Amino acid sequence: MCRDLSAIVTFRELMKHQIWLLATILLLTVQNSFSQGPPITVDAPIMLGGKTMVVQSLTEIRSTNKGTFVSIPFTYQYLPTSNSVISVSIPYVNYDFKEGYILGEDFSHGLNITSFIASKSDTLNPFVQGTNFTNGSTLGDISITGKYQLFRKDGTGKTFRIAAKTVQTLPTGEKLNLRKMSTGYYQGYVGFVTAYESLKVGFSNELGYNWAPNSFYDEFVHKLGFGLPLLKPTYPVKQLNLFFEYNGAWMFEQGEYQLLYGEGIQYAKGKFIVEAVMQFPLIQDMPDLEKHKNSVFVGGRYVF
Amino acid sequence: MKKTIIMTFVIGMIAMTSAFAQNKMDRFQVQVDGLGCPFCAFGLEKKFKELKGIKDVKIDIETGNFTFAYPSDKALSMQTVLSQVEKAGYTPMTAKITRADGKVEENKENVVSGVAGELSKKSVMVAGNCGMCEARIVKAASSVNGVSEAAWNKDTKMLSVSFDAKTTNLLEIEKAVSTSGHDTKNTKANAATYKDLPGCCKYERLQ
Repeated sequence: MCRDLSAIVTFRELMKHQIWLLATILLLTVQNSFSQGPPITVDAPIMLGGKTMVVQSLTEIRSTNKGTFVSIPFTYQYLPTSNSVISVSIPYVNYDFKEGYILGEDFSHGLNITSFIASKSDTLNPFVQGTNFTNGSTLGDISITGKYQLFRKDGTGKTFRIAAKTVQTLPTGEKLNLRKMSTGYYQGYVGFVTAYESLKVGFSNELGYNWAPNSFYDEFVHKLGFGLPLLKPTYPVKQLNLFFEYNGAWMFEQGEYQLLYGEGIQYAKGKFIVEAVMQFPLIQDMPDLEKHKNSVFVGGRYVF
Repeated sequence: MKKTIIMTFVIGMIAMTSAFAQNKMDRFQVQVDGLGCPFCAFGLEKKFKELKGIKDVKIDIETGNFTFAYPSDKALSMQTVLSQVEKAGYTPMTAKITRADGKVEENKENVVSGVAGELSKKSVMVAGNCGMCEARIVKAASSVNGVSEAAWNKDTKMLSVSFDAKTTNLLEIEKAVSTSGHDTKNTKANAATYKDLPGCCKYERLQ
């Protein structure tokens, strides 16, 4: 199941291309970027003041080679101080696996149990026990996120901030092998989020590690986001923003790598935000069955 | 008829008293750093609205200027204002309070307090382009010991300053402004400092 050294070499080559692509995008966006709203599929450090609450829902419609899946999370975010934030996300997941496939559990590793989607021919494998989960709905993996601001450097019309972040994913969902939706396994994530925002340019960057003690969802995560406001920044808020966001994950235990690119649009007025993102894969070094075709995100937020 | 006249008189007295009371407002002006986005301003305003009675809240995203009015009888102190900005998650720079009785307070060590009329008021030409230039010029001028007030008009390019003539003079103020990267009538900014200005601030240099 795990790849050999050649997979790591391939990964390095892929990263090289990624760096050039990111540098090009950065060059194009720096000249025309102004301050923007919060990113959509990537994270940002703490920008709102203390005692602020945000309710959010960002529906994801994910189309993959193994089926189509919808996650509708309800997220509540609270900032007890201007340096800290805690949030809880409760997703509702609807799944529709392709015909001809069953969801099975693979015991062949001898170590941990993992869930995966297999073809019917795999049922001949004595280590595979199949369960028919073709379509249905379930509560997904509930996640609790905490962020704490470690560093802040302010200037006139600009700020640079670094926050530490942790995400605890609870095994409340069914074992559907749907990353970030419903895996049925506990996962713990630790990372750092940095952002530089000014009236001329803004970007956010996240680097972290997801630990999954009883499954194969361990991964290194890297996210990068750029925002391009189309209107002059004003207060009270009235903004129309474009976002360009990268989500990268290196599932090193399985020798898999995935880089997703999303283009989004966001409209903010007063305390309301509505947003949408179209996301598609740039790089997918993983089994064909797990590959994404595209994802559509649609949602909104309200700031109290 | 008598009742109508009495009622009209009473209503008039109440209205006058109310209007008179409304004039008893202290005016606050704070230069805030860290407002890199419009939602940042939301956090700042929300924090200050914890102070009951606050009015006329205005935030200029480009310059970081935050102004509001607060009832004079509640005697909001400078320390409370600066602390509230910090609690909101931003950095207060210069702050000025103009009390209802005319007294002016500032948060700099070189506080120039007293009635505004005792200060020298002068104007000088300073080159610049935009709101960011305005924030930079005002910040540099205000940092000079003895300056109580500074304002720059981006259309006329004129910097107006009020200062204690016993402590400083206009040339010292111009030198401080040119150090930040802006040419003035009598001083020239360093070439390297000018080069480091953001693109929108690259004004046409004075001869």
